[in-house]
Amino acid sequence: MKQIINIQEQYGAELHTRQMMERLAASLVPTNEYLLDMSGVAQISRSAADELYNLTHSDMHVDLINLEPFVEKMLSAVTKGRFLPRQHSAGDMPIIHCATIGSLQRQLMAK
Amino acid sequence: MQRICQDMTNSTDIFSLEDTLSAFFDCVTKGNQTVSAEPFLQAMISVFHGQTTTLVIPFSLDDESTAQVIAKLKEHLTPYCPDTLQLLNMPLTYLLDELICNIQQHAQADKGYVYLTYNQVAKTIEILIADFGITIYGSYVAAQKHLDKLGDSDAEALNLAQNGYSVKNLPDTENRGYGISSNMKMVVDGLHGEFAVLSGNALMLDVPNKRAILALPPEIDFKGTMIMVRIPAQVPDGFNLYKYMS
Repeated sequence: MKQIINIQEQYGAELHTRQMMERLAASLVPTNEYLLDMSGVAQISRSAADELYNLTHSDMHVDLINLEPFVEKMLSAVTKGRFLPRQHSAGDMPIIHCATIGSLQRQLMAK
Repeated sequence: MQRICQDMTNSTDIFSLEDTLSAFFDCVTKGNQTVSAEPFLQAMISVFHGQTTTLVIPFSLDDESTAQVIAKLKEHLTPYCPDTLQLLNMPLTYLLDELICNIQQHAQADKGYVYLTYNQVAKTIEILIADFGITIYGSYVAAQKHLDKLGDSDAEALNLAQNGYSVKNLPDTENRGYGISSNMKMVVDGLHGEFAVLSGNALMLDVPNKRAILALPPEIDFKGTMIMVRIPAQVPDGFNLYKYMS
């Protein structure tokens, strides 16, 4: 029998930090099976989603149900992040050396 | 120095992040306070404070504080732009989550500072997130990552950060290191805002028509990291947060 945990009731509608998810993981019994009911959780940070990924891909028996759209997208993004090489698509930024406060101010004011 | 900064600012003539930064650097150099971190932060807050309604929250880096600080910031904005806040809620939360998380993960600081302003004249939301930690350069050095690219330069460290180079590179931590790069893209490209990072002896600026890292004069060296964001309180048509999450 899987135990259902309502995440919104226990942790709120926004999951912000890794520590929050680490607390959740620590509260679970490894031999039990869990369904984490994510209904009502509207927002999750990348860090929290990353820890949730760790939890659902660990030896624990944990599945997620009722994902809200944002949470689903973020979990999808962190899952992709595990398998795709990191892209450095922004490219280098020019580095301008300002030897004096005057040259710094000129750079800031240049349009 | 706070008085000097307040005297130098005027709510009617500061409309860009560059103006704010220019007033800030004027302030710290004229105030003769270019070394220690706290006067730097006070100076920046004073520059912002000259403009509009303000809110400063020092926060400890545990998870309850993070949740509370984000809720408090959004609550503060509600009376000013309730409709916009509804639209900005998700990107704003995403932004604050990532930037606060960066401090938790990398700064080796015991607390952070968030300062938020709604500029009623320019109709922009202005956010300052700061720590007195080891700087972005220091976090690469502490992790012994990308030292070949880094040299001894705060400016190179900012360049790596904006290009998504993480201080971690392990399979189980691969989703770290997006904070600055993804948020800069979202703020500047997506929300048509402005983004700046001051860390150590360098300033990164991503504003309309200017995208550069300024290696600062030697007398300016902030012992920590400050991120300044300015977002119009008007979400552009077609903005899609999901585009910036991958």
